Amino acid sequence: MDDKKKSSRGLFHTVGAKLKKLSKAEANKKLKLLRKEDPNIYPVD
Amino acid sequence: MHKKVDEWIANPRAESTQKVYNCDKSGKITYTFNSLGFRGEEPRPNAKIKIYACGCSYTIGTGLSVEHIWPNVFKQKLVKEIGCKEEDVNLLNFSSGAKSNDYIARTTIRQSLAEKPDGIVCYFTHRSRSEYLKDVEVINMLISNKSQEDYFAQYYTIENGLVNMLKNIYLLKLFCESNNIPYLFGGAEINLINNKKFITNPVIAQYVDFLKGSNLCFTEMKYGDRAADEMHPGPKSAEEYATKFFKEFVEKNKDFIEKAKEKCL
Repeated sequence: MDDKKKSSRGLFHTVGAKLKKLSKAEANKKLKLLRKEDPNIYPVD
Repeated sequence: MHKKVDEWIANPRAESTQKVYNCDKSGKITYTFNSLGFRGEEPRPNAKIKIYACGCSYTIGTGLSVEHIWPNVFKQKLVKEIGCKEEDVNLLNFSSGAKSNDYIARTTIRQSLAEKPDGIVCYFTHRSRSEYLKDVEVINMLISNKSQEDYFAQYYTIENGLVNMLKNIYLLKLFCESNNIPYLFGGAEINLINNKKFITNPVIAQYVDFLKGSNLCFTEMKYGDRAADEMHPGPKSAEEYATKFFKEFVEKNKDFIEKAKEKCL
């Protein structure tokens, strides 16, 4: 595959893919990482 | 200009005063909301220069007195630069704490259709925030909200968050440019546009390309000192941000400054 095709491959991908359901441990790990990006804790407005 | 609407949208806090706002429980700051329910001055459609500001807690000034909020510091600098009276400039701040990039773009456009501003300044928020619509209800999605954990854990990705942020910036940029409204946008995570980790993603790269040449301020607000809530940037940090933001606004909107000076002669 040439470079041009490779670089645009991500733009036309994956028909019908199924999202993998995360386990509780995986979900907690992901949330911990995500919360690092938002430094402030807010109540729901 | 797009089709004009009759009135600004208002929120339920209209004409109220409170000492506690979102995470600011210090009781040291007074939050006064105008007749539309937004913090700051009343709408004055006959003012010579109308500036709209929008953002989240950084821009509504959680933990800060009104005079220290960055758009208010921006206004003071504008008044000085163009040599007008303070009452010649009407700054309307449509920010709301904890709100999303969807809210910022949507609200700014909606308010601009009610009364076209002479300039728009925004500080986009963290990329993870979005609006989730359920029937007629708008649910504000926040990573910090325990009841929304499932959504973020199972469906949200930082790439999707970033694309949502870029789409909203692009939407508002197109609105401003197509309506000849001078603008400058900053943001809490706007520097991600320059982050190689993300721009190698082919979809994100497209949005970054769309935004090339836009009026963006890549300075992010620092946490040099803390506001009364001990969480948000304090008065010095807001002043420092406003100074850099204003300088870039002037550089990128020279025609606006010249016209504003003429209006105030």
